[in-house]
Amino acid sequence: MSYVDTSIIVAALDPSDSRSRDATKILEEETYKVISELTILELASVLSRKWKLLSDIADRLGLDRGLTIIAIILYLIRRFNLRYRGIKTQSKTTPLGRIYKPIADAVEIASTLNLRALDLLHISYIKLLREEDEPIHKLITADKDFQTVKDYLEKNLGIHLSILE
Amino acid sequence: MVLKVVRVVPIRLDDDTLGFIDMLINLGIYNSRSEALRDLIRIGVDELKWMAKVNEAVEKLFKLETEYGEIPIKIKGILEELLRGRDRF
Repeated sequence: MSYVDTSIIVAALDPSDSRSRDATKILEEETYKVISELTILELASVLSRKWKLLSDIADRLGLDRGLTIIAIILYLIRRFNLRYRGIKTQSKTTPLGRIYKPIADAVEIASTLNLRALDLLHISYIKLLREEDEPIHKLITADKDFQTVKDYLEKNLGIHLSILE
Repeated sequence: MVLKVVRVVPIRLDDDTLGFIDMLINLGIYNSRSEALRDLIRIGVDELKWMAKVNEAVEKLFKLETEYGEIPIKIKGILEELLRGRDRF
């Protein structure tokens, strides 16, 4: 029961990366795989920045850029049997005012983890999804930066870190 | 002329939604709750018709996968691009 980082999905699409086959294998073999809205955003963003390489697919699908990206993301979700889960708790009152909950929690853990913003947000999503009863016990990623928070994840969230190397 | 088959669908609505429907009837826009809901659902369906195109495209991607024998989306350097993007954010 895992939270799948965007990097694993993207690695499975990248023939120039030596981890591509292993990423595909993981996505096909893991049984319960959760993604968040941040995963969807990152996929949309990275696909849009590699548009020239995607234009052949877009032509075949006969869709414009926006719909092609949505179609690809939906295909990947179905292909790898990913479960998209949204956050039910919308916002949190902080000394800075009302802030969207995943961001508010990421701000709270920032000083402890010293991670990049998007990595912090992924951890925040894992924490919130677990609080909302998603049975996530593992984070699977191809992003080595998560290595620095391995202990935090295990001790504070009960999350085992699995980095594809 | 082809008559469309109409089916009955039981639906649960909260008081706020029902109150809004009744207000539309009170304004004379619709004659009944049934007519109002039918029309509002039609409006929603029309607005989301583009999703049928997306659904067709997803099915096409699965067909392409069968044709190619592998995932039809291969993008060199996309992982590096993602990780670089995380650095920029």
